[in-house]
Amino acid sequence: MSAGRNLNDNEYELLSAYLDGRLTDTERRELEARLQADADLRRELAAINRTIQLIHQLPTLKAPRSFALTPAMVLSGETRAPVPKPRSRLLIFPTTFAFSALSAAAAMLLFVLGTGLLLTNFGVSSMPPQNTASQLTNQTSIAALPSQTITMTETRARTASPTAETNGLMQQNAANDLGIASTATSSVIQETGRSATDTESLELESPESQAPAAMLAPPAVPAAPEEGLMDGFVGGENDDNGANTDEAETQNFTFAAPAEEQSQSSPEQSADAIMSMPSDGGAAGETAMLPPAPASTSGVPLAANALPSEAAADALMLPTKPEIAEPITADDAFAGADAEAPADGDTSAADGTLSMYADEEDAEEPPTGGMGGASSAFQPTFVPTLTASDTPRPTVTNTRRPSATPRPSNTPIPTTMPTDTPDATLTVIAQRGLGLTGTPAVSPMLQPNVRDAISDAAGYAEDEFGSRSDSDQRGLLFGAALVAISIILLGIAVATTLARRRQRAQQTPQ
Amino acid sequence: MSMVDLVTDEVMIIEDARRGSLDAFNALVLRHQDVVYSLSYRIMGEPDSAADMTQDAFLLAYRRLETYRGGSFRSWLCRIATNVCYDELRRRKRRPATSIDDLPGADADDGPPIPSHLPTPEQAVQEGELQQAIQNCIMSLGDDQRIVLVMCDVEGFSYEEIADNTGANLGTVKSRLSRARASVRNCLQAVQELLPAEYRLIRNDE
Repeated sequence: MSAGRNLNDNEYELLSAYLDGRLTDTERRELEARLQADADLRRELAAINRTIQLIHQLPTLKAPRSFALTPAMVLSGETRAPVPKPRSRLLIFPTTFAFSALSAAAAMLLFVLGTGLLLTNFGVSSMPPQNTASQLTNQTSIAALPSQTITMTETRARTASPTAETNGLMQQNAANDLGIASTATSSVIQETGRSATDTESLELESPESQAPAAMLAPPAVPAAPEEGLMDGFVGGENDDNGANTDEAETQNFTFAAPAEEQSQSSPEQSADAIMSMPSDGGAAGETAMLPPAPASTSGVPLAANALPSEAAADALMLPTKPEIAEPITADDAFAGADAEAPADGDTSAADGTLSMYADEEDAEEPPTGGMGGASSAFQPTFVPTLTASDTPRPTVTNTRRPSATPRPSNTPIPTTMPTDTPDATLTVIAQRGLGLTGTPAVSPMLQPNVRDAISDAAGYAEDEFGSRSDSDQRGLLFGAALVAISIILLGIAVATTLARRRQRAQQTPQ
Repeated sequence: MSMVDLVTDEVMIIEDARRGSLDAFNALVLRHQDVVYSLSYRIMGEPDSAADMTQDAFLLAYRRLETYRGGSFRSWLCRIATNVCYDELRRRKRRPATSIDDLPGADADDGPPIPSHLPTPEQAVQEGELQQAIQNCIMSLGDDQRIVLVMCDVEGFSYEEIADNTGANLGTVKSRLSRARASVRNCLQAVQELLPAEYRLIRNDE
């Protein structure tokens, strides 16, 4: 069999029709003339003819059984292979697997994009005061935190109550450095503070038992939409601004609402850091203002800019165990910070927040909502850095947002801690809320680079919060929109999948 | 019984069936079921589906008996069977997930169906191989081409009948038939080395 040229479809069609006698006389004559001259065409004609013969010679098969109809078959009215119903749709969406898969993929992509967008805009300022702390926001805000922060939250999640541990460590640290007796504590501290010595026991304790809002881990910023929470932490931001301004001017960091406001240390002096109680204490009226630490007493690796309302920041800074009231004042730790106790009304809010966080495992709660009770809005950012030392001692740096030089909005907050310093294992930078002005005080005791970082962060934060650009807000909105769309798409994917499954279940029984 | 008698007899049976006699209709079923089953098997490619299509075709024929306008009852049955098979193929294409029983090869143990007239054992082997090869080549065609090829070259329908049955125009029928034949021709040539010389498409001496 010679391998001649391949015929085209038209030639095969001519040959086929020719064999069936379906060509017109003209077509037939033309083809016969070509066949005379074209051996390949002749060969193919023979092959096609043979093929037709072979097919036609296929035997009639014997039916495997009788197909006689029974009365039941006739009466049933059913044919075995009914015409399938047209493929149903879910609203306007086809219920095909391809569509479901596509929707899911698109949802994933948009979610990543939206989250990234939120993180980008969030991460810069770390805490949008206007944020209403929706659940979505909470989720994204976590990611918005610096990577170190995430590490911290993970760590906290592993340990039942990382906050307690942190507190304990801090307290110990503070006590050691300052030489402050653990017994010397204000009443407020007693309520909310944890003893430094009791660190281990505290670790396993749930924040609930320790009730006070101060107990909340710093990252656990009230992001929940609950009103109480909002009131306590988010609400009143606007009002806070004015107060904050004043505060910034005076450079006072006072935890206790009542009164003993400490005044004054200029930022340069990096003056008085009071690690004090959560706002609750103030509300309770048991406020204990920590005495402003003298510069000489510095050495506490804590930079405290804790605002009264910030439960999270306070929690880190303060000992939360009631029995042991330890003055956590870190003198010289940071610029004088006024920790003003929040209004009394805040107490309930704080409590609500606490329980809420306890339920949710605060590891999941990033500082997102506007912090700060009536007096201020702070956003604590935790930058835990694990050191090589076996017993890492946490250093909590609470940096207040200063009204400093403007920084590019996308500039990350420098939060790196020197790892060679055993004490500097945990740095908490509490960024002041929007509209707050103040000069961060950095403890001289800190490593120089740490102080620089804190100062930078504070300055940056101040600027960021002071003027949040519209583009940032648009970015946030756009990111949130993308995430919302992704959720919708995911819902569509799930719905169409379920619909498809339902259809299949209906069709198979036939 | 002469051919005329058979036809006359069939007309009478059909009349009985149209008057509602299931027994009369079943006489027609038994008379034509091999042809209908063969047609179904050539199109569907495997015994179980062919049997299902055959049963459906007879049931449908019974219900539509009033649409029979005379002529070849066998051709009328084959058109119905072809339509039933065609609908089934389209249904499967829309919904690929079928029961395991419908899948080709699911009943491989059954072997190929038995021809209604058995040849000698030697012939059976050779012809069995050839027939299986042809059937495989037919099954390699697309549904549209296979339907046309089976109707024309297996059952002997005219282009017009095929066009009427499949809803395609004459040009489409011609085109599909031509391409189907060429495909089967190439398919058979690829396997013809396995076949005895007398079954080859192109003999070596050509």
